[in-house]
Amino acid sequence: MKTFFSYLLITFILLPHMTLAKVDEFTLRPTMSTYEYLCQTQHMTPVSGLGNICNVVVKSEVCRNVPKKDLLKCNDIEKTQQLDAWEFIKGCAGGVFNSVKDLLDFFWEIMKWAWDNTTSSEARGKTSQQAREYLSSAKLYLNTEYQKAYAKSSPPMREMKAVGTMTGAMGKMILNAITDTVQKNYREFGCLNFEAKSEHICKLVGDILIPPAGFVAFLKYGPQAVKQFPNLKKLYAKDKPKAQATAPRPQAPVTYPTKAFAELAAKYPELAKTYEKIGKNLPMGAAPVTHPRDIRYDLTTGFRAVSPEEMLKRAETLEPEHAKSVVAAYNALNDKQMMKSYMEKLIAESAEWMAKKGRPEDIENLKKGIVTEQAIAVTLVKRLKDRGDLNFTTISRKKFSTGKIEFDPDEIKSPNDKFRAAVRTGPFFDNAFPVNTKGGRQNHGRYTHMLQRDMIAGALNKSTGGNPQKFWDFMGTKKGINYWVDLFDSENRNSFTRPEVISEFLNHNVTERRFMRDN
Amino acid sequence: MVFKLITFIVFFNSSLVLAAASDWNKSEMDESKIWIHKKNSDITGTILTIKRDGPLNWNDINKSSFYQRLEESKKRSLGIIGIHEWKASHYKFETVNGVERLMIEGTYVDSSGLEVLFKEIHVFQAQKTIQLLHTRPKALQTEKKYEEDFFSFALAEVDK
Repeated sequence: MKTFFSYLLITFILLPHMTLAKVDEFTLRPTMSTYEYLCQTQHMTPVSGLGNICNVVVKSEVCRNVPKKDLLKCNDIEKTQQLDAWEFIKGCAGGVFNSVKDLLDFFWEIMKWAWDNTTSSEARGKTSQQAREYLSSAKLYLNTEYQKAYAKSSPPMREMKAVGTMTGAMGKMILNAITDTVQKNYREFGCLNFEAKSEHICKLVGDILIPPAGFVAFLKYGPQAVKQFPNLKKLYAKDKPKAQATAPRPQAPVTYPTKAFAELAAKYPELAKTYEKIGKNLPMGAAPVTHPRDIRYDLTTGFRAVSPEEMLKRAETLEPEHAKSVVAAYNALNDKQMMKSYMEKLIAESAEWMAKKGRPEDIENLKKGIVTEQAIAVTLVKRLKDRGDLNFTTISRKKFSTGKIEFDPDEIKSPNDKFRAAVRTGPFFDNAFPVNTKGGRQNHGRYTHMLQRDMIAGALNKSTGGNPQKFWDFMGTKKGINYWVDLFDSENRNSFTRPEVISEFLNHNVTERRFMRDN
Repeated sequence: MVFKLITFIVFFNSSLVLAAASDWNKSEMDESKIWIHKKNSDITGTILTIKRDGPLNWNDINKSSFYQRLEESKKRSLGIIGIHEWKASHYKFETVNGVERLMIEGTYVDSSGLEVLFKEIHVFQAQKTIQLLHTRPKALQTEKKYEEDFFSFALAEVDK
């Protein structure tokens, strides 16, 4: 969805001379996605004009191995090639959609998926009775519209003609879903011309849509589908364009956040490798939400006293300003691109600290491509202080000590009170979960909550109109603290809302712990 | 005499219901019965029955939230079949003969681009919900007789 809206942004801002009617999604959408990827990773200045964008993509490192005959022809990029999505899919899927009943059943499965995928847990799972009521009311329309269309159709193949009137949106959705998945796993797809794209997608359509209900599983897994469906992965690999026997194009240089780090990367090749690997090993995150009711509270039940159902009820009564910040924090921690950019800058800054410190052990670590826990912690604390976030505290299981911060004794009556006080006071070192000092790369970590605080600082600043303390004040209340677990201590193993995921990422890829063995 | 009068009234009402139904072509799909008006195939009526294990406890259900979820489900899934701009102009919960009902009225644009008026009635009986939908082109907005005709025989079926 984010890529699609970025594509629309680029279309309307950078291509003012193009009318929407001229922009063909199937041809241009993957290319725009590759262009967006290049802009974000290469930190390029955007260009205007479709031809210029095409040239940037085609001449980039991403397209290096694509055979010339399959490459986009930038001189012709503005000529559109119309594609009837449904007819294309039907043709590629062979006889899978020859039965109207099968097709209508397929429509219904997709409608159920669309509802399930974008609707809050309450409607999905609170009571299945209510969920059935909600969903079935959409079936009223499916059956009505089909019969209406049937009444207007004439033989032969009256039934197929009737259902054909309803397939426009469906066809486009299927094509975009497949194209987006291919694009996410295969950046070179954006380099291909119309014919090459059609050929690749057509081969995949049949496998994904047989049986048709299998497409719902494909929709659920999204970009993970390549891993989840071994046949798809195999087919996908078979279809990847083979490099021609020509001289390899020169590699485009990797762009680093600062000149100082660029010099370090040039000096310490292993450090450069560590940096370049960051984007490849990040967790997938979670789909963005527009309201706290859309957060998957059912994924985290272990640490929250309040049930998911109750959380959903409470989300409905949340004040809009707090709802906005909860959403901003959640989405930031689950935005893979945002977290990639964050980690790259953090690691670069931490490495620069090590180089400046210049101790023998720091230089040795830089040579090995290691950015130490200490460097990261120091960098983090410095960032928070520079931002005016100065009230550091420490909490632990035995005592929720709050360091030098004095609290009104009447206010603090229990450990929960102390935790809430720490949350609203400032960044805190969390000693509540013991760190495995003998090794072990998967632990809660002392400063992971501080990292999360730093990660969401920009998003919170925006959502609170420049006053992020409003969010922390709210989180430190009995009402606000209910959201703590799902934002900062979740059980989602694919998200930085879970501190262990942050630790695991850093300790597997960046810090000295990656050379330790797990206990 | 009174007996004959009552018999006549019952027969007369049944005739009206049957007369109304005869203006429509009926078909069945899954758990639905769909009627298409013989004079204009954009005028429709649909009944869908959903069975339940037990009654919905309206003392525990927030009706406003229930309606919002219902509305969301349509907005999120109807686009798949080419229905756009589905919006309700108003809705109302009411109790009729001890049975909870929900009525929703509004408009949408169908896959052919036609702007359509709709009226839904959900009847929440003990072991099932019966959902009724009437649609007609917005151009026939003032032709309420189609709506009245459909609901007269449809609700008669429901109340059996």
